[in-house]
Amino acid sequence: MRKSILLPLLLTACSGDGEEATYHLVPDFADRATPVTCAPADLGEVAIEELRAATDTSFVVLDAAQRRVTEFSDDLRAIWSLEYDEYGPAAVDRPVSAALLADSAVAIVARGGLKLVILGRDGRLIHAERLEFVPHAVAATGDELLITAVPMGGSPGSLLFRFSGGAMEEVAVPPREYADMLVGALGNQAAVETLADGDALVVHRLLAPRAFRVAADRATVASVPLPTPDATAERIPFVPRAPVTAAQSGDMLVPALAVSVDRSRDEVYLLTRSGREVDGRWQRAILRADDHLGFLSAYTLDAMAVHMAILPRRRAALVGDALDRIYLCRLDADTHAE
Amino acid sequence: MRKLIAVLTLAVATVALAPRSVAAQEADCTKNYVSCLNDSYQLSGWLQTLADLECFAEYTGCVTREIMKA
Repeated sequence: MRKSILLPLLLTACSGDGEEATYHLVPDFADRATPVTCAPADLGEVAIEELRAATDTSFVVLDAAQRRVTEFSDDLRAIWSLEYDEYGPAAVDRPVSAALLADSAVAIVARGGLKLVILGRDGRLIHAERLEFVPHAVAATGDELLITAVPMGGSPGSLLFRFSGGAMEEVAVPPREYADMLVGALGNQAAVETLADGDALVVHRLLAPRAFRVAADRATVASVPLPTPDATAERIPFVPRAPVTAAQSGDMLVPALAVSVDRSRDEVYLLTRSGREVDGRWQRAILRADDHLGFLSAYTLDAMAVHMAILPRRRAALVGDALDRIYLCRLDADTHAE
Repeated sequence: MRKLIAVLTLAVATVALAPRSVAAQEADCTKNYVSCLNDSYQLSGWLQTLADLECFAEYTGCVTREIMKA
């Protein structure tokens, strides 16, 4: 019989930059998480820039090397694929994130030219515009796009922008302040995902366990404590010093390598580090939470995942590693309920 | 924007003066960043500023990828 994981502790702590931060430490996380053996999966030749859940039965791969966006069904068959242009008005250069818009279009944000490009699934250009910020991630709900920005030198003053009706506007999600510009850029890269009720979650990927819930009206923004494996607690105050090197990565907190939402169950999945070192690398874990980031259960993986898409119908996570190897990790969502 | 350019220049100097013991992958990030900045130097005005921003964004992404692999 499985032991239930203890109720998470709510702690308040100060970051290295003096900001009040709240997070849930999940006690004995690595010991109590369910170990999962991930099975190799085949998507054909892909180079993953981003792997993202699309619907309850599909996911999207943004492949920058092949200049392609592909939607796959959750049984790993390609449903449709779009090859975008390298040159011209509809060109996409160095994309970082893609999101499906309704049934007919795809939005891509790119570092090249700092662009938002919206294409029909036939490749037809619908809209393209230069952004006033460096984009990191894009999510879609209805006809609205939500784009996270990487602040550089204090600009922009928000992590999140909303594009709707042809207009781009700032949504007041405050960046975390860092003294160094590169550290600030690293630490303020945030994932964005939409929830079933229209609200959105913005989750920091590096350095600080920090998340925000943005109401559907986009006027109300609330800080939400992020569940965090207890073995990583000592890394929370760590702020790297420039020049930032990979040697410091072991000291860094990586709260969310990836975020994925199961809208059919109102659950949020975070791909993170468990806090355990395995063969010189940080073991990966998936943390399952409710849509207010209340901890539900945890899983440790035998794959060194850096990308993740949740497959709700299959109760599994599709993950990719840094070498573009794909794995299917079956999750038992019925255990460890709080 | 001028402040941003000054900060970017400082960031380049910091990276260029990084210890030689930096790992090979980070050296690639740094090398690519410096190369990118050298290319953007061919441009002028707002195009150069935009290009510098893109270079920094790419550098940030490169460093992030190395961190996340660990």
